[in-house]
Amino acid sequence: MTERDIRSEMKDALTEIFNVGIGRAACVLSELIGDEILLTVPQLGMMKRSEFIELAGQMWKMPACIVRQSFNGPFCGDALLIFPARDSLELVRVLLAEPSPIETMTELEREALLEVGNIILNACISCIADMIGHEITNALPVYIDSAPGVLIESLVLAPDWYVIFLHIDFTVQRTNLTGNIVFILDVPAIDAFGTAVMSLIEQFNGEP
Amino acid sequence: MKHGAAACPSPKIQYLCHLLEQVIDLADSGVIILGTGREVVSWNAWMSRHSGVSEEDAIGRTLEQLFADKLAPRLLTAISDCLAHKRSHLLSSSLNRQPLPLRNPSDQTSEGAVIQQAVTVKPILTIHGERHCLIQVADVSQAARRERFLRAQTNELSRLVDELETAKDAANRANVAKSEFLTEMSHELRSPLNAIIGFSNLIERGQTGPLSNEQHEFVTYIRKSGDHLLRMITDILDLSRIEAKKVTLDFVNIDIDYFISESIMSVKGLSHARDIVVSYAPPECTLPTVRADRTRLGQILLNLLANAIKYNRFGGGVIVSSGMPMLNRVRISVSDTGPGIPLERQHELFQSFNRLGAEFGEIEGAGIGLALSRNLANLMGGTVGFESRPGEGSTFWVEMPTSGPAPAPNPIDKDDVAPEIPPLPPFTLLYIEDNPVDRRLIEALFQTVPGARLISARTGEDGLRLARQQQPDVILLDIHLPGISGFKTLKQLRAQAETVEIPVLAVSASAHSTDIANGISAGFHSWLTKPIDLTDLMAVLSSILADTGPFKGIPKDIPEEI
Repeated sequence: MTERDIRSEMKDALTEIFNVGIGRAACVLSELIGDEILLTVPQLGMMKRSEFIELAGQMWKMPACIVRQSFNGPFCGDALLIFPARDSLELVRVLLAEPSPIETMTELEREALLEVGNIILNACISCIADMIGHEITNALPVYIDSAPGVLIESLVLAPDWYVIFLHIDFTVQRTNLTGNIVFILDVPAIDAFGTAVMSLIEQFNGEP
Repeated sequence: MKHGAAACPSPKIQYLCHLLEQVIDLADSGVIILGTGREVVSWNAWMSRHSGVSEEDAIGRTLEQLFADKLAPRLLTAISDCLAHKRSHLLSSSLNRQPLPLRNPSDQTSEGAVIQQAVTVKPILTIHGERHCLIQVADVSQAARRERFLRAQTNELSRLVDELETAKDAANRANVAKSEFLTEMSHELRSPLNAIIGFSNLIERGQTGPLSNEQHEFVTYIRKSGDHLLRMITDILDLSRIEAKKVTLDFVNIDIDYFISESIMSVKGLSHARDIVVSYAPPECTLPTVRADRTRLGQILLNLLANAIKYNRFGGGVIVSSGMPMLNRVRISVSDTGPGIPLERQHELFQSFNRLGAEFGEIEGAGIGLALSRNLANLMGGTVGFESRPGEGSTFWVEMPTSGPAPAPNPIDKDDVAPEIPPLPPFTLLYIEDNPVDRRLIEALFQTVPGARLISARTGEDGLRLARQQQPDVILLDIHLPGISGFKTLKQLRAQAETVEIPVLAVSASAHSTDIANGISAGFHSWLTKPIDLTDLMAVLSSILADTGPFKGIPKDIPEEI
């Protein structure tokens, strides 16, 4: 199996895993607000951090609302949930079922968005932990108003760190919103992913 | 917090533990530590105060044992995940109503008693590496209350803004309706005035037979009152047009010196009647011409002159002067010897329909002259102002921008001299008009014109037939006709070979520039506004019959809309 094949297999496996994680998060959120929330991950991309910074600059021209959660374990990194400012305001107000004429996000609305980020990112981290068979711990989420590209550039990381980049679609009460999840991972993480995917494939091939 | 202290081995650590216990107890938020088996190992004073469960009762028991089903399931899931996988959780106050059953003992109100909480659940490790769970509870009730208040206030503000917008729209609509009403009314009032002014004019001129002195005096009153009413209607119409931004201006260069002399001539009758001397002191140097609409500037100056005469003492004086108060501005001042305007009433001067001093005398007018003058001056890039000394008199002035360097002296502008109307050659005029009074007026007028033959028709259809049969020299065509309109009649006249060359004059009560422009572009030779000025009509006929081109006093090109 070539490295490209492994990469491709890894992408497929990760898409699958993230969909499971996001599905779990959707269940928790639905229960919390007492209304159905659909979350899907239609697309996943993997690239080096330096490449991603360039892409981020093109994707987000305006500052966005970012929920950042650092994690630790056999490898470390940062998980980000990113929404355009207007969408994040709409999302949090749909979730709280509390329309408001105030143009900016209030303190408590921001806290609610942090919880949403915490639920989604924890669900993803939990699935990754299950996949690699190791425990991954996380810090509490923090809220950042920034251009995502600038934030990622400001994180002191080696250029060969990897970025897993996901689109995430929210559907709540006929409102459709699109956000992004970004995982910034160190090299051991990618190695661990590779090993885990290889063993999954072997398991699959070994089955009668 | 006695539980943790027992594990401290050395005095130094015991000392630190003692301090830490106090720090946790003094904290302004709830602190709970759960052990590996989910039992409470630490419970601070804040928790005791707000849960009603003392530290002694809490230690060693699980949250489920303490609060049964009053706990939010999400909190229990977070605790499990924290102990099993060392993951941190955040429970926001907006998405979680009462993760723990906590109340504020010092707040007795039903709203304030329940504590809104933001809860964090974090993994911690003991010195032996055992997993514990740290729960911190922050009271965000105050913030929630503030946000509710802010939201209500912002909602109220939005509602007020909406209300204001609605009120503003309604006021704008009412204003538009008022302007439309005024335009419509002015138009309607002009039609009957045609008969009043026209017939009284004929009688006054003696064209219907000789008059006694008394009859002449009375008919003059009728004619003057008609003229006055017409001026007021025109002023009201102008004011509403200015408000609707539909005034048309025709800018030309005007020689001020001559213009003033001419205006003073126009008020001679008025000044004589009140025994007031109106004098003009021309400046020593020649003033440059000003750029303005001649009719409108004339309207302003006549208004100032008429006011100076009307609001003056009997036998008083009016002095007109001109000068340049600053570069590129010419000012015409009109000073009177009237009673002046009390200081406290000066601010009311330029308000429409406000006639200062009217309550003390019999001064005629609608009270819109000054408002109209100021609006017109502003439209032309000028201003109208005043100075008044109670008991001594007032000076009103109009200031206009100059149009360039001073012109060569040219005291008589040929354009401004009323044209000499030569005797008319014999001619036939067809008058198509449904209003019998208007028809009668023209018939009476033409009875006195030698060589004139008048034929009349009541409808466009009859008019077309008569035009074909009689081949008149000129057609006078009313615009608002029953059956086919004036415009359609003109179109058909132009379509028939026998009538295509006959000049057609429009007669209408509409003085609106758009209508006039439409009329001229449709092919009318001229547009006469009711009430018909008999002198104007004769001048137009003379110009047509002599084939010397259109009369200059009638709009001959489309004025520029502003």
